[in-house]
Amino acid sequence: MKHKGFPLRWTGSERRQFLKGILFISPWLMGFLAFTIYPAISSLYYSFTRYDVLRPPRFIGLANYADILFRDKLFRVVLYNTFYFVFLGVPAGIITAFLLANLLNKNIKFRPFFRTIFFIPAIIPVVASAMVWMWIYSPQYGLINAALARLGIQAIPWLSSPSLAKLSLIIIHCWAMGNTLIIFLAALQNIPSILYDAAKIDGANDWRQFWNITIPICTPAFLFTLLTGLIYSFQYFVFAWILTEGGPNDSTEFYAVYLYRNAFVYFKMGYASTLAWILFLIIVVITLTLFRTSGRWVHYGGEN
Amino acid sequence: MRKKSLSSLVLIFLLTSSFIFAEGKGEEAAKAGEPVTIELYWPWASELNHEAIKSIVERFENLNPDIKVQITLAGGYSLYEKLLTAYAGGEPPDLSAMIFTSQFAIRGVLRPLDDLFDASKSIKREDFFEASLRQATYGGKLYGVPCLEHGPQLALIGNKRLIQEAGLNLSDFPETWEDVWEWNNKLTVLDKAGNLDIVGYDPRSDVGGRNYMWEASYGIKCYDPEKEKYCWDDPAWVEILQYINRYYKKWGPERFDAFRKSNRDFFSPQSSIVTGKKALTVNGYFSAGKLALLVPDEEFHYSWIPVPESRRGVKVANLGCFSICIPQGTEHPKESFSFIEFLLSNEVLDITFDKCGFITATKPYIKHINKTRYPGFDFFINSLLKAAEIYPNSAGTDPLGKYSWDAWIRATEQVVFGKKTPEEATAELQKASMQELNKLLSSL
Amino acid sequence: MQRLLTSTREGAQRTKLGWLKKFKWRRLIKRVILYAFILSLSLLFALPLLWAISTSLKSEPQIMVAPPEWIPNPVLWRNYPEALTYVPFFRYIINTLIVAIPSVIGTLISCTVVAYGFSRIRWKFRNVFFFICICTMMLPLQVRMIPLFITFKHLGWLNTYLPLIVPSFFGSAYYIFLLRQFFMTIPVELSDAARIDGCLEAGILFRIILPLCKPVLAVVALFRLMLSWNNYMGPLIYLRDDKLWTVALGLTRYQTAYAGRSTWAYLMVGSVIATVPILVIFFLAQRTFIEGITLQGIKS
Repeated sequence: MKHKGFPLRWTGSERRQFLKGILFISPWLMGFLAFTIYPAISSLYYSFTRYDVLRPPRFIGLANYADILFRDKLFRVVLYNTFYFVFLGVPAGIITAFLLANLLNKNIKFRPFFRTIFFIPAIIPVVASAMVWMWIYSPQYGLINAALARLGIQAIPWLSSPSLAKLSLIIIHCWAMGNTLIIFLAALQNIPSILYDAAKIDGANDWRQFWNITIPICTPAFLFTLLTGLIYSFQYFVFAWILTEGGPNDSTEFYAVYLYRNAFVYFKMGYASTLAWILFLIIVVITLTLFRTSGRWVHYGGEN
Repeated sequence: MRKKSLSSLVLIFLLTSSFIFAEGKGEEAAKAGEPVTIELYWPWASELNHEAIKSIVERFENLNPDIKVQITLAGGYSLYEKLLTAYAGGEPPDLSAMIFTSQFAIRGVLRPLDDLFDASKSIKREDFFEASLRQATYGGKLYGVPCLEHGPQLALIGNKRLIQEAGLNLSDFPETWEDVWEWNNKLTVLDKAGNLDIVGYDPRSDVGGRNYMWEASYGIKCYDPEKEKYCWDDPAWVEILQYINRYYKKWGPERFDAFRKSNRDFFSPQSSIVTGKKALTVNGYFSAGKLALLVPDEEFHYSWIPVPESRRGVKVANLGCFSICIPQGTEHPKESFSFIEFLLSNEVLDITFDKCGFITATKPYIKHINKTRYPGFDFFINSLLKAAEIYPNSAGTDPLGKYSWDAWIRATEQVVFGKKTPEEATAELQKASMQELNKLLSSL
Repeated sequence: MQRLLTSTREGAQRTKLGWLKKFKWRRLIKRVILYAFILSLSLLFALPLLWAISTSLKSEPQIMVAPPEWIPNPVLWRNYPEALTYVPFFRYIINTLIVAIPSVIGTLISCTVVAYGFSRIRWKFRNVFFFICICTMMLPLQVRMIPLFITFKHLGWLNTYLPLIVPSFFGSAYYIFLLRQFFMTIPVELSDAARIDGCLEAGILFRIILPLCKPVLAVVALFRLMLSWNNYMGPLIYLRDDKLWTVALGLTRYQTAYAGRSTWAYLMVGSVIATVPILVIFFLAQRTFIEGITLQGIKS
């Protein structure tokens, strides 16, 4: 970034590189202009309006923003729930997926079979998983509480207690990390076995190998799963909607659930758009910070 | 190399698009010759219900060769997403079934149907119970015709076996909420681990948990359409919350919630009344058929829903659910209305009852219907003839629609989890609802 | 290696036979624990499928029993043919494939090209554009849905598969980002050497980068396939005609409203039938993308 002026003071090769870059990303750029920009701008406009979808939007300035930030009591609860879920669920999910990926990368019999099994939660229709978790968590008939009862521990109301419901959903979230698991498996294949051989000769034990070779080489995958995990967890919806419907006592009323209710149940699309743009800003700030710091901990084999 | 990949990209793109366009066009062409097509949003995607409507439409098209009915399937919440996007795109369906009519009507997007209704030869106002029409009325105008699934929703249902096991007598079957509380204490059974194994009565489940049940039982309203205001400040709501809280204080809100999740609500499998884990519940006419089909060996007692002591002996019923509406500004309201008329003929109502188990309780139809089809079903039909008061389903008259259901659920949860007193919760409910309503009214 | 050496030292005092015994014993215990752990975990992960299979073979009254029973009694195999003729489920599977296959192809082509531009070419403002690209994932669909619907309506694409397919030809941030992360790990020297040999960027992409990235390409293809498979909201909004429905929507046709006959077992038949093809594809394809090519010898 020596020459900042655009594009007058660029050298010929800089201009060529720029055009080359634009050419390669042009499919995305076109799609962005065709299918993303208009919906994004519209929703930004809706966020300044009262819009129930049935009638044309009416401009009301910053009223929605003021309502959400200063008057909406539920919004604070929703924000707390969402941050709770994101800051606990994302790391927990990534760590679980990474450990499982390492487990499934071990030299075990029927490995393809086991890998397929661990992928089931990611593909089975949600109705089936929801039914199963409802059963697992059931204090009366459930798997976990049956085990606890053997140990003489009182039944735990997993999904039914305002203080445990979020945690219970996070456990399900960790269990349904099939996609992340696959990404880590693919990343693990990128590690040349030579590296391990060399480490063994140097006398490094399993733990050191894991810490000094496996993790650094997987950092690009970590960055990816962390960022996309954050982005999607801020918009977490499905199980909170099916299993707990935001309850008990609003403890699982997450951002996307609240936004959905406003948009399609209460016909407050303007308000929902405002919620969406506030969420957008929150995610942008967090991701940008992560991106900025990523140079310090992400090791790409390619550049540098 | 780059050119090659680009051209192959374009090629694949063209191929797929031409393939898909071709399919779409073929259909358009087939439609071009038809006279008038009206589109109906059918609120259930299920195949059983689809079969029913398909055969109904077939009959209709045979009788009216100049009208074609296009059925679009959508179910549950999806109906609203589909409906709202269709409105936003400027092409709402000619006919759509909905529960929350006023939520749409207040925004002026529905066509008032009084003129078509009064001009109709086959349906008359007198054919409907007043409560049914009231559910679809907003601001003095009728915006929907009760149809598809519109029946009596209230009865106190008791599991005879559990009642006997608890040593109780059917002749003392609860009439007031105090009676229910007493029975509940005798009927409820805990298991060894301290879970609720059998629940006597759960005041927050099934139809018994809905605000419109309490309205009918106490003879109150949560929204008053004449005064255009919410009535959550009625002291009766505080009394109701106190009553509900009695149960939750005794057994703990988490235990109740866990019981509900272990056994599920009525609308999903393993509903506690089906599995024989709940002794008493308040539910609609559809439970008679469902219980008869799923647990044929179990016997149930059907009676009037409980009332407060001050109203002892008052027999109340409730009527409502779906109405069919016609959006403002569609091209063929008359043809659409003729399909509604057809849906309300006894012959067609029989098809819906046979195939889906749904009824539309019009006066001529409840005379015609086979009341003994399921044990207990006759209670519901007779309740419409014997009740002293019949209430509409307030979901239809409430301009905020499902907002009020959610707000009511939230208020009860805040009370049972001890976050608010009943007084605080109702005050909050009233304030928030009025705020929402005023915002809505100011936008008109 | 290290462990082998230490155990040799420990065992030096004992007889050779004793050392051998001890060594195998330890290894065996380790293995047994490992397998027991993996087996119990995989049971947890297989539960929903087992549940779906068990429920799909039950009679309706048995589904309603509390506490739930795992073994169907009687085993109703006929639920399968009944459920699959009850709604045109195979038609939905074919429809889904009609949507999914072009979408997968489109995603693979567009996203690799774009990801290449975001990772292997150095140009100014690359990171700015890349961040904008990432940002497109951050605005919830619920508020974009209506304008998007209006866009497709103006294009005349409603009630066709175009809204479900065409956008995939223009790249999607998630896959672009994923591919970029993997492209970044390939040494720059490889591209530089090719450039010196006179190779064009496209040549580098197709001849050097893609062959090295087959695992992640297969992952992208799989994910995109799953997206088409599970997409509910898109088909719901854009398709009017139920003959065009896809699997995710088709499943809703087994969900009965509250009165009349219940079809919970059929719904589970549908779930099993919808899950198995992807599982099979995954099982067969994992050799390509997990046991895939590694960069042995290139890095070091």
